[in-house]
Amino acid sequence: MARLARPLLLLPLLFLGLFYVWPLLSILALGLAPDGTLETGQLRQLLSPWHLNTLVFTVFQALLSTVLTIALVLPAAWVCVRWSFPGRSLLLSLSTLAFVLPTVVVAAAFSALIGSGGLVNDLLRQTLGPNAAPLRLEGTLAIILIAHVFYNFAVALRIITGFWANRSTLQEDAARVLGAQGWRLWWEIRLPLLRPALLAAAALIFIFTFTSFGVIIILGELRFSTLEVEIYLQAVNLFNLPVAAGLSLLQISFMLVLMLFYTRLRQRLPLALRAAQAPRPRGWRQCLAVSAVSGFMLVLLAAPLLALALRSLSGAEGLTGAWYAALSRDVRGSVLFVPPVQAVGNSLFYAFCTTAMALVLGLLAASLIQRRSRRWLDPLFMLPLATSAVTLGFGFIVALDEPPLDLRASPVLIPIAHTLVALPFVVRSIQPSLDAISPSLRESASVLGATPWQVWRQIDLPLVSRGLLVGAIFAFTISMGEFGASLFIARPANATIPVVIYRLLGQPGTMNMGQAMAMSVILLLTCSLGFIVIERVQRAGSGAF
Amino acid sequence: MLQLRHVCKRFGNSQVLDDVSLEVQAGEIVCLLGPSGCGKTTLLRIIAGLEAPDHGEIRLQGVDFEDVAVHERNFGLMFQDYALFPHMTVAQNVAFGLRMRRQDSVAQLTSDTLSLVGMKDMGQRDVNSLSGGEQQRVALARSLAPRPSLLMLDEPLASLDAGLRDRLLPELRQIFVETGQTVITVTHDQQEASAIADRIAIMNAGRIEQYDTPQALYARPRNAFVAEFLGLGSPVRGEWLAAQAAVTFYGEHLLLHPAGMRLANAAEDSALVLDGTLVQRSYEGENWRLTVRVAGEAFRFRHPLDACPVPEPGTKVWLRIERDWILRLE
Amino acid sequence: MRIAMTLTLLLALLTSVSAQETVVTLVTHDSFAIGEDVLAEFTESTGIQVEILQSGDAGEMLNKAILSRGNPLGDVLFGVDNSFLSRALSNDIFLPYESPLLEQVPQQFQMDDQFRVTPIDFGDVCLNYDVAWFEQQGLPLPESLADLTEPEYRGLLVVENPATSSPGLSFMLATVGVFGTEGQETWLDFWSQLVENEVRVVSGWELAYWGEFSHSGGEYPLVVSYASSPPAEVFFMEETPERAPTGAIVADQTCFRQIEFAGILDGSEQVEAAQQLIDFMLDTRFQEDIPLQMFVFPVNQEAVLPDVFVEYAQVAEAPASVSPEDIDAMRETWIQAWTETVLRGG
Repeated sequence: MARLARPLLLLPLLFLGLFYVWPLLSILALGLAPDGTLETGQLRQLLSPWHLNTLVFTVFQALLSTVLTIALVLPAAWVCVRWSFPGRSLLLSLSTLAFVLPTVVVAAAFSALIGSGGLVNDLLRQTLGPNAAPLRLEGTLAIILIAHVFYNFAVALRIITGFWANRSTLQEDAARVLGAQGWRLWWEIRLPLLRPALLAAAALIFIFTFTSFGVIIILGELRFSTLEVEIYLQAVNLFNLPVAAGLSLLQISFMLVLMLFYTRLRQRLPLALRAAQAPRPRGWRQCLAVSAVSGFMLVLLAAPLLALALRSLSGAEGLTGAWYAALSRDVRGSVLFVPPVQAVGNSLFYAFCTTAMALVLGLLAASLIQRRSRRWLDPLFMLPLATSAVTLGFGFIVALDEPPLDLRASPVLIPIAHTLVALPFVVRSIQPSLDAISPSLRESASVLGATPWQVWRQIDLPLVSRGLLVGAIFAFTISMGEFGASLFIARPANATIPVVIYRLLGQPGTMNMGQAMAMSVILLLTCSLGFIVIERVQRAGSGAF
Repeated sequence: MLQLRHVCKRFGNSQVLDDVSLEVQAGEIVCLLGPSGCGKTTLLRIIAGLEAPDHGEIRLQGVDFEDVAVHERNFGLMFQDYALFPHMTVAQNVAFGLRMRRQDSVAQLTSDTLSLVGMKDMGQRDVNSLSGGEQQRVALARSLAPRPSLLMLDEPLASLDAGLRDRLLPELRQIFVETGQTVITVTHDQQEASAIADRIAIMNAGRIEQYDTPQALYARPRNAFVAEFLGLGSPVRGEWLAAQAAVTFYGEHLLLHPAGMRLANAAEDSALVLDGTLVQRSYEGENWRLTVRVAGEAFRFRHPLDACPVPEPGTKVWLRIERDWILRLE
Repeated sequence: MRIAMTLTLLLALLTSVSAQETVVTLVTHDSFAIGEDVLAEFTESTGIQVEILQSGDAGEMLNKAILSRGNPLGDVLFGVDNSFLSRALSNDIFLPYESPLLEQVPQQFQMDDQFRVTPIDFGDVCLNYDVAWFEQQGLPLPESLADLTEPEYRGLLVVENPATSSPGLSFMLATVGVFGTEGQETWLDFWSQLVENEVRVVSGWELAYWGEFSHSGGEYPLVVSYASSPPAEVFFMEETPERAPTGAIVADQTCFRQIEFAGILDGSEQVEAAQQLIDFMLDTRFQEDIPLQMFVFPVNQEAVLPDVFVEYAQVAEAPASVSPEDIDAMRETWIQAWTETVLRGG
């Protein structure tokens, strides 16, 4: 892999340069130095206590969310790796489904569940009497954290189990023989050995929550603010480009420093890889552990989704399929009407393009970064995640305005934007497995007559295929659920499922709400179908490993 | 067949290979022997094409190999950790090189090679479930199967226990001789080297100290390093020897080869006899293994059981040295 | 990779429009809608194809238009409202055009004397109420904004955050217009009293209307929405009810009027076709389609309203008003002051 043709390896850099660095620099330049000279006057606003408080809160909630998510995921990952039990892959898929839902829908699901008039509060009132103070979580830090855990559970679970399942248990057995058990086994052996995957997951979650937007605005009700939200308000509501650019720069620099730090922490751990078969849980203690963890995951992940499904089926007179039926009826003859089949088709098409592009570019990027001398490139591929979407969106308008790259209004930008977001996930999913491949495996293959391409195809690819599967699922999910970029450049003909949901929710009328919920359920079903297909493809492509 | 000329390699500040020249004949089994860190593995990797030399050239049958890519060299290399592909079965591992080189009858060759290493019916096994010895055999079969023009083995037996190693050594040599395979193997164990190799290159600090047959190396070590590494003892100076016996030997480094040492009953005129003290004795099958101290120098040698009787340690003894076994070192 | 490249190329090909016909691109926001047959009629009579490009919400759309000034993404921009009007005009992105059909549009909607923008529709942001709830409780409807601070309306109102929501901003502007920024009782004092009276604030219209409004299962019988929401409720019901389930309060000085404008983008290469499109948008055919597509009112007086609007929709006679210049100059200050007062207890 290390000797893959050089031009091929440069492809991800070219992609990043063209669709990230160039637009970003263009908009930053326009914001900070509209006449060619740096305007410092406006920038002084950046140092106001308001913005500093925002930065502190941004970091604080991101750290808290990351630690909380990893802590909750570890037992789940352990159970999923250690034992095979019925429903294991269902739980994994379920956690990923959470990742796909637009924030508006998640908010609706949460409020149906724990809102002031939601299921939980109804229960509380029934059991504790009508005057029991109902649970009020809207606009609190608690609901922000819950939502972040809900969203990011899958990120951590997939990355950690993807790595862990490939790991040999030798060291763990050795430690056990030496007398380690209980928390010492965790603290001194398991966690340090899992470090590459833990770090990769933590880095992603931190960035994701650091740039949290929808959750802060909708569930946090803007009682708190993150840099990402501030940038949006400055750029869109106030059109204050200098401050928006300054804040973006602050956000990116902060992430860059953090990522450089992360890259240093990252280390190569070439470990024995193996495809281990997990046993069934035995004895009451193991069964209890499995059921406790599955139970927790079901409550956290499935309850909101079920609440959603229930809402999509409930009309004024009980259960009804009316909302689903109404989806394909065009009552108003609108030019913007999109039948659900078409929306599903559009979504799948973009998701397919995104997955293909993100996987290819991600693999190339990961092998590029893998060389020691190229480590500094690693943070670069993470930065798109850390960049305010609206800043980059405006950057596209400013930078990509000349033929042949006048892509400002082109739907090609949709999979490109999705790929930018998906790429860090793919790279992070592959990296730990790639690092764990001992160099002698590749050298061996090479001496045996495998060309660099064959080495890559026969050794690297199968050995990272589990990481690749994780990456593919993320790329697919990100594209299916994303609606910012899709709304940013929407034509009636290429509306995706989330765009349709968003449109339905934008109009009054009970029927629209019901249809939006129905469409959300269709989104979930389409995604589940996608997961099944992707897992089949992976299994067929790499044998049992 | 293989010629290395003036090969140099440097990693950062350390000169790993310093002007190494080596020649290997077709069908010959050559062993690179030396302490760890002497550059033997690097030399192997350079021959395989996994590293590029800073200077020097590598020729195979007269053709310069510098620009030939690793996968086009048609060599075999067995790694110290075996590097078995964890996602393939035993048979898939062995067939890998055959498939890469697009050889015909892959299945036939694979099973032939597996029988050759005594793993006939284990083709479908998962490589992760094999014992150390089995893994070693699979790795060997994998390197052998494509009939490489040159097979290289990096510490092939290092991770095996002594008993298994002693059993496998002659087996290995027999396989190589039977197949007429040209082999370069690397080890730090001199017994392993002597048991397997036609010729041994002793390496130290990036240089080849001596390159010869095992017998010649033992009988005529070229310098102090070789002598010490082979366990033949340290050289003494001419003046020291002159002071112990009324003879004059010239030279700075004289090796009193243990093969020429015996205990003597009394001072004999025909041979050189030194006064010393028996420091240690241990029983070793047909021989005693003795350590005798003479004027600050210690000598270790084997003394046949049927020669003169051996006294208790601490006793004064006469050490007899054959003049022919006093070697002048570089 | 090859697959991805091919697909990308294919995508590019599929979306490139054949160059033979005249095509005008209508850049608009994501709440735009119009009937398919209406556009088809336009193409039939003029030979001009209309391409619709939705580029984000109203703010994003306008900012993108400003950033691409001179090399626009389309020919006609629709959807700038009076809260953004000043920003659009001061950035010079439009070419002036005076449509002959403006004769049929009342003066109050024409806000630019240079005709750089043409009014197309208007809507009143006002309080909506849950008819059944108020009947059950026997509570009279509030008749002014000041009524909302009375104890009998405690904990009944849900509003949207003006920083993130367009109706939220309009409602805040209404309070600015009604209570003013100076004097004994300013608009911020009003908001402080609202907070004391347990007003609920959410980030967007969707959450207010779908999550909190008692008509949709929430706890608040009063919500900031549009005067056209009640007819929309009726329109989107499976069967026409005997009476509307929700109503709008359009009392004087309780509403804020949003007027949406269209303009020809400077740099358009199809100015003539763009002018034809503007004319068409003012024409009764288009104007009469507006209510049931976007749930706002047409500006053309001659346009006939659909039955459901005639029956269930009301128009505010004296909405509160703030000038576009003031809005543009003070937007940030007001929003920050509002945030401090309402959200962070400032």
